[in-house]
Amino acid sequence: MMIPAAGVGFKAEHLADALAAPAADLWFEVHAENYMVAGGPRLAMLEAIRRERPLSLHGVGMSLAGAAEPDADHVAALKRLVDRFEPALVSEHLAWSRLDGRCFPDLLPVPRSNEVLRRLAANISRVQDALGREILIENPTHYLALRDHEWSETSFLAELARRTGCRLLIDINNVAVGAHNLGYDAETWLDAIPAKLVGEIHLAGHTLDGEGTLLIDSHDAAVSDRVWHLYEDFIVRIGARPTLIERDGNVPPFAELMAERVRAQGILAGSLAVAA
Amino acid sequence: MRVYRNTVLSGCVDALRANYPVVARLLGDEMFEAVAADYAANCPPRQAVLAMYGARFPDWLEKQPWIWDLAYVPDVARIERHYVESLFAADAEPLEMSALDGRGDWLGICLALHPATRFDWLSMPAMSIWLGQREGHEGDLDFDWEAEGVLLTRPHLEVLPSRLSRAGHRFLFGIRLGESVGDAAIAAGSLYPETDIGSLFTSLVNAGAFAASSHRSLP
Repeated sequence: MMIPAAGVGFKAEHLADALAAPAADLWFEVHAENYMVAGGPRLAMLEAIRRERPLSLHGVGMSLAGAAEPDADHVAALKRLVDRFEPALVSEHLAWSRLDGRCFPDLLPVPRSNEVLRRLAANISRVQDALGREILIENPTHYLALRDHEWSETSFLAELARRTGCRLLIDINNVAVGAHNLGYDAETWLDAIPAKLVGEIHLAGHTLDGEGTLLIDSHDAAVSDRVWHLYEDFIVRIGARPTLIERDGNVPPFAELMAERVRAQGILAGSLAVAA
Repeated sequence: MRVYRNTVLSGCVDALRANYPVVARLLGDEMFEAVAADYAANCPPRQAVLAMYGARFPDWLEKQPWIWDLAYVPDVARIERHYVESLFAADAEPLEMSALDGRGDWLGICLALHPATRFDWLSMPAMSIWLGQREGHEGDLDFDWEAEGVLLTRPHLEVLPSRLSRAGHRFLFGIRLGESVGDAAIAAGSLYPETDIGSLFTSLVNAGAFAASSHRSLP
């Protein structure tokens, strides 16, 4: 079991800083798809990171909610990475990104119907069986209200975990963005997530779209105050969990990400002190 | 759905920009984005691993009506594709010259190319253009407007680009088809008698073009 400390999304341009960072219990997360290549310097770089630190593999391309079973080649590629790098955590998005053999490099929303729930549970079980381990499922961002939901999102996630034994990766920024765009209450949403199901937390930044009405889960800015407040309350309720500072665009110097990591680490340490 | 469509498209465009940086520089940001978006709409990704996205981009570029006054761009794109393939190919030990010490039976030795070896013969001086762009030359480059050969090897973790002669291209082509070192050398030497085939072979081995433990003797 991984120590519930704060980690940082690893970027190649930060390699030297990441290897030299003295922070205790620091860990790194990477997008699994970026490392699904046969060989070469990119994998060698990940080996170097893994020698120093625990690793988390975060998948964005499994298309768990798709109508078809997960692509066998993709599952095999993920298994090769899991076997080689022995990550502490493996997570995947709750979304579909494959349709009729086309792949969409984004995470498209799914209606929460009984049918989708069955399909997702079957797909998650297939992946867990293939990998021989538990995976974490991340709550998606919402930009538009799909009709035809038969489940609330929180009960849908909890039911998925109950049926498959997976746990949840709660992206608090996604909750904040969805709450803004769809008009639900973020605190109520987070309160409905059973503490024992949470295996990891993502913290990221967001931006307003060009028209100034829609929040975009862009991962290109510092974590907002709103998200920090939600995070702190959430940790106080559920206890410390591995927490990732996630940044995919406008990547700042490593030290800037580490400064955000210090803040998350402080909140985690506070909850551990209370628990003790 | 606009926000989804935009991020889907920008994921593809970003992947193409990462894999074709010199083409992006040659076309300019604005044009490259339009071209890449057009390609992504016509040739969407078939797998979720975008590290290798854009295999058909060079051929697709060649068919675009606006390419006629930028005719060298598809060949530059071909080099960039070879580069990505070489970069992400499987790791393997390269063959060293010392492994062939004492061997004189060249007609009986077959070699396998290293998994990261890529070579090509291009009708445009795309290698000169690509090398010049990589080295950051501004303005006009000084080179002859003629066909060029390209060799990319990655004996360890770094891709090594080099120019390939016609004889070198014929030699590697033969090796890829399964010809023995001797047969490939004789064919290359008779086509291009001015070439020193011995030093050509040594330079290819030293570049890491062949895989170690791949040499086998014909019965």
